[in-house]
Amino acid sequence: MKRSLCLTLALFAVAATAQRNRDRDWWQYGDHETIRQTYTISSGSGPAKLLVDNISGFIHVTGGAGSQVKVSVERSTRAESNEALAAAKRDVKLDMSQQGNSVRLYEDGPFRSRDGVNYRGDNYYGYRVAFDYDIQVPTDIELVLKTINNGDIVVKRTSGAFDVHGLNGGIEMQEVSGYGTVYTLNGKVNVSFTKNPVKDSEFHTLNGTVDVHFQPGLDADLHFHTLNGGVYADFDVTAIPTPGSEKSNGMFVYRSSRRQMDGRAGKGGPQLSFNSLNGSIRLYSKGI
Amino acid sequence: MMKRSLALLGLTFSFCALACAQETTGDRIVVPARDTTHPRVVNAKVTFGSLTVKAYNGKEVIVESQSAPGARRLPETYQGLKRIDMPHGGLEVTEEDNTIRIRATDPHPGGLTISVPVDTSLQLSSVHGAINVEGVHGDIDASTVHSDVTLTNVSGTVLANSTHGTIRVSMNSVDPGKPLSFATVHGDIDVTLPAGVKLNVKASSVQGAIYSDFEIALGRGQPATERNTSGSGLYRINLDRTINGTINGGGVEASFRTVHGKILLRKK
Repeated sequence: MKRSLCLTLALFAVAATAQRNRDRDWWQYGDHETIRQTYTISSGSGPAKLLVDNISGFIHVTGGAGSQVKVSVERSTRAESNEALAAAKRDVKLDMSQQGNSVRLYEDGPFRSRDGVNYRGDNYYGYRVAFDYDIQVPTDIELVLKTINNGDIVVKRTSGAFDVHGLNGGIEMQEVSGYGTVYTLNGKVNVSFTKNPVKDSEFHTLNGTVDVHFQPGLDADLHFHTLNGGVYADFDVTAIPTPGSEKSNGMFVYRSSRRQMDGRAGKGGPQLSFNSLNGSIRLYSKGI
Repeated sequence: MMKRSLALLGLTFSFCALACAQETTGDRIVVPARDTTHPRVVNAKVTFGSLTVKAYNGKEVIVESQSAPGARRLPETYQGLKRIDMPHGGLEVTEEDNTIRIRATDPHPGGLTISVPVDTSLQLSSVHGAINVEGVHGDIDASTVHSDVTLTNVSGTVLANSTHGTIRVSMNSVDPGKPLSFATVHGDIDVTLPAGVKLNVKASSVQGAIYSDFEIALGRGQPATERNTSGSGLYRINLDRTINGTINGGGVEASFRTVHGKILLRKK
C-alpha cells in the first residue's frame, strides 16, 4: 500500500513536470536538427535488434521489406539563454551505434545516472531537448524501445519480439505479430495482432485503458489485474480458480486482497497478462 | 516406515488441497483441511460488515461474501464485449500453521459468512458489524465495538466483548479449566448455560440489575477496605459492586460485566 502511494506521488511529480515542460515552449532560444542514418542488417551477423533508449520525444517504428534500418531523428531544443542552448548542444547527445546486427540509439545527457534517469526538470537544466524518432526497420527485427516524456511509442507491422516501455505517454502497436512486454504508466495501451502471440506477453499501464485486438481463435492463459476498471472481452473466458499457493514461509494464500484473476481462452496457451490500475482492459478477437 | 507413510499422507493431503482449492470461485473461498490432527483456528477481522460463523458437517472452511457494490457500477457490456467479473478486492484469506486468517477491509454490505467444522476455535472481531456464531465447539473469542455479539448453541470457552452492543450467548456445555468472560458497556448480557454448570461467578452491572435462574451461593466477596501502606493510617473503602458467588459448588471462572445494561443468567 505504502509502495503504491509512493508510486502515485512519484507519478504526480512526473505529471507536474510534464505540465511545466509544455509551459517551457515560450523559451525563445532554440534550434532544430535532423539526423539521418542508415544501418544495414547482414544475414550472417545474428538476429536483428533495435534498441532506442530515449528520454524525451516520440518513437515511431515501421516495419517493411528490405534489410536496412533507416533512422530519421528530429532533435529540437528550447533553452532559456544562448549559454543554455550551447550547454544543451554540448551535454545532450544522441549516441548512435551498430554492433553486429544490433542498432542502438541512446540519448545521453547530464540527467543520466549510473542506474537510470534522474531528470531534475527543465528549469534546473535551463533547456529541454526532445528527440523524435521515425525509424524504418526490417519486419522481423526485435525491438527494445524506451521513452519517458513528451511522446508516444507507435510500432507498425513488425513480427519480432518486443519490449516497449513508455512512462508518460501511450503505446500503440498496429499489425504486429510478435510477443513481449508493453509497459507504460500514464497512457493508453493499444495493440493489434495479425498473428496471436506464441510466447508469454504482458500489457501494462497504470492510468489508462488497455485495448488488445487478437486474431479469432485465441488459445491463451490470461491473467487480469485491475483496481478501478472493468475487464471486457468479446470471446469466452473461463475463469481459472486460484489454487491455494504455498509461499516459502509455509503460508497458503487462498485470496489476496488484490483485484486479479486468471482465465483461459480457447485451449489455453502462452500466459498473457493484462494490468491496468485505473483503467479498463478490453480484449477483442475479431481483428480490426 | 512411519515417516514414509506420514509423508505419503501429507502428499495425499496436498493433492486433496489442490483438488479442493479448485472450488475457489467468485465470492466463495474454500480452504481445504490440510491438517485434521488438531482443531483449526479461524481468525477473522472485518471493519464494516458482520461476521457470521456456522458449524456444518464438513472438513473445509468456507468463506462467502457478497459482491462489492463497485462491481455493479461497471456496465455489463461494452460495445458488444462482455464483462469478465473479477473478484473484488479487500478480502484476504490465508492459512498458516492451521490458522486461517481472514481480513476484509472494504465494506462488505452482506458481511462475511464462514462455515466451519464443529470443532474450530474462533477469533472474531468487527468494528461496526455484528458477530453471530452458531453450533461451534472450541475457544470462541468474539468482539465488536458498535454492534451485538450473538453466540447460539456453542460449547467450549467463550470470551464475548462489545462496547455498544448486547451480548447474547447460549452454551450447550462448558469446557473446564478455561475462564468465561462476557463484557459490554452500553448493552445487556443475556447468557444461557447448561443446568449443571459449575461456576465461580463474578458479575457486575454498574447501573443495571442482575437476574439469575441459577442459585448463586454468594461468597464473602473481596475485602471492602484496603490497607494503606503509606503510613498515614487511612484506609480506602472499595465500593466495587461486583457479586462474587458460586453456581453448583463452583468451578470455571466466569465473569459478567456491563455498565449500563442488565445481566440475565438463564438455565438451559
